[in-house]
Amino acid sequence: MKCSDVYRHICDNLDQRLGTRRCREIRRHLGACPDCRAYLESLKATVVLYRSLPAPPLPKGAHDRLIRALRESGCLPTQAAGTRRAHSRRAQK
Amino acid sequence: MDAHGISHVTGGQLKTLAEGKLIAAARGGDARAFSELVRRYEQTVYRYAFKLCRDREKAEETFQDTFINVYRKLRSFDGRSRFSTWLYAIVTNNCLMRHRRRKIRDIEESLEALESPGTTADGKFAHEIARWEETPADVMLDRELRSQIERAIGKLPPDYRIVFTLRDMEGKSTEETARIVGISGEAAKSRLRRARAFLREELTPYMSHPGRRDGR
Ligand SMILES: [Zn+2]
Repeated sequence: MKCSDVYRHICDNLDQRLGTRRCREIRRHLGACPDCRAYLESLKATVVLYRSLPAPPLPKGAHDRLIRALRESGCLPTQAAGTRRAHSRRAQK
Repeated sequence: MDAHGISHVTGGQLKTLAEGKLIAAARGGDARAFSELVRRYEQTVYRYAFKLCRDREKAEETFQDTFINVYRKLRSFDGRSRFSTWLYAIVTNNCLMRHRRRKIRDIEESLEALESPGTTADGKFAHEIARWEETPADVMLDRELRSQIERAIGKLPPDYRIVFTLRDMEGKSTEETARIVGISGEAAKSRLRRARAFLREELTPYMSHPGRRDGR
């Protein structure tokens, strides 16, 4: 197995230990090739960095704005039609 | 009401009602069931939309479009895929529609190039592989690095960003990612490979020089 093969296939599972023949060959190559090892480590680090980016929760008021949009598009009945309980959270505004 | 009516279900029971029943009732036009589906999935939809759009305003627009589409398309949901798979596909399409007009050709080309790196005749890399001296555990996500991370994923064309987000940020399998996006597993793998390689390249200047913060 060559570096170019490793480059192509290493990415699918990063270093998840799969029992396939290709994975065993990749592991053997990695043991002997600092370049490919450095590449794998930096790919894994890339993923870790992106996972660490915070995803903000639903902004305040977004739920109410959604309900309003759903009513305006006819996806939900208007308040009068008996959905008061379901949307009693609609407090502010 | 129809056979799927849930008018006898109390508000408290609604919160724990099996998803299949909820979907059936919502398909039958039950507004409480639809509202409950919204409640169950709104955080997931918003966060995923945000990860794709990287912008609060666009994320909220996508979020609203998504639930309007869910309502309109619910009748065509046949239950063959999981509801969440179907939902992710709708968010993905809404995001794609909002991004379609952006100019992305240059980056598409550099992504193609990342598919196969330059190698020598014996299959070794023609270019030196940059060593990342710093690990994510070492670095604090300071403003500079964080904005570089944001910038890099912002440059990634939506087709690639979507696959990267689903696989590496949302933790979906290759198969589910392919189903959500509507592409083959091989195409999903190829896009993921290029997206990771691209992001890695973009971050390399920041990660391969220890002391970059004190230095320049
Ligand atoms: Zn190698």
